[in-house]
Amino acid sequence: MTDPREPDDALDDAEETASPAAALAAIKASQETVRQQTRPSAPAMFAVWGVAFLVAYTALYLGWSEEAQTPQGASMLVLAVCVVGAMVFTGVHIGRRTRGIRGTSARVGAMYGWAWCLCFLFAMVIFGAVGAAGAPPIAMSILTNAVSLLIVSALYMAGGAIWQEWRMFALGAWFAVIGSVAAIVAPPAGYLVQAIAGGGGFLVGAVAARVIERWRSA
Amino acid sequence: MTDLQLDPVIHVQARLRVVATLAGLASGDQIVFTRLQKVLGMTAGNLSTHLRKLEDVGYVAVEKAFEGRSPVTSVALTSKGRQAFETYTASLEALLKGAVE
Repeated sequence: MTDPREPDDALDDAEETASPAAALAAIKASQETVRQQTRPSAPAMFAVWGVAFLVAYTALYLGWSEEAQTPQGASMLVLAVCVVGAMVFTGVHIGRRTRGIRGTSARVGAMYGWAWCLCFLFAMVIFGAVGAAGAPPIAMSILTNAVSLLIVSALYMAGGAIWQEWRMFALGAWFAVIGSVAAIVAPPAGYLVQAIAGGGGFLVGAVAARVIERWRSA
Repeated sequence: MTDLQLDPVIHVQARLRVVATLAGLASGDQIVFTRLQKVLGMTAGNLSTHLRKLEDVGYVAVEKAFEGRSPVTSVALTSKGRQAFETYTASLEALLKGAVE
């Protein structure tokens, strides 16, 4: 532990907590503070991913080529920038909030992070193999989109179960619905479904999470 | 005030904040001393003193380890500490209820 002792050590035991009500208020305030400072902010993450979804899928919709049956040109670059940008934000944000916290939750978080990474690597392999087997471009467009959303949906629901975060679970369930709709509708209209309902879902989630946080700390 | 029913180790403003903060972490988690100090806004010396008192009664476990070349101290609430905190909170609620009725 850090020594040396400082002059303010002397006054500690003199400061008794005033009343049961004041002590309970102090407990609530301390726990709210530690929660806010050491746990990732759901509103911030939902908002960033909401904007990323909205921009990326709108770009894919606008960049759709009837001839090639796939999005083209700058739209793929926009998608890459949105996904990488949101991933970097997520990594930095979680890293900052959980700095100095060791033990169970760090291990759980690491496993969860690796699950995302490995699932998307697995998906890339599937896309490569299906493409190599001669799937037509429209089928590839539907597949890449649907499998990506399947991973997001499943891992959001799993995250909701791990951290008992019903908002996260609800978003995952919502992605299962809109992912199915987008697959049935097929691109390019399917992209529009994901931009509006997917990005919108995240943004609604962000607002709901913000409202709940305010209400909780009030 | 019926302080007799309340755990005297926890029933001190600063230590109550330390214990409540540690109890606010997920069970099985530890927090690095410097981070805990930042969350609580306490001086290192003050926090050390309170942690030592909590460690003496077995409410917190303090672990020192080396990460590379720098020493890192991490702190966690023990199961005894968590139980004491829960009992303390329940006593406060009971006292408050008694005062209202």
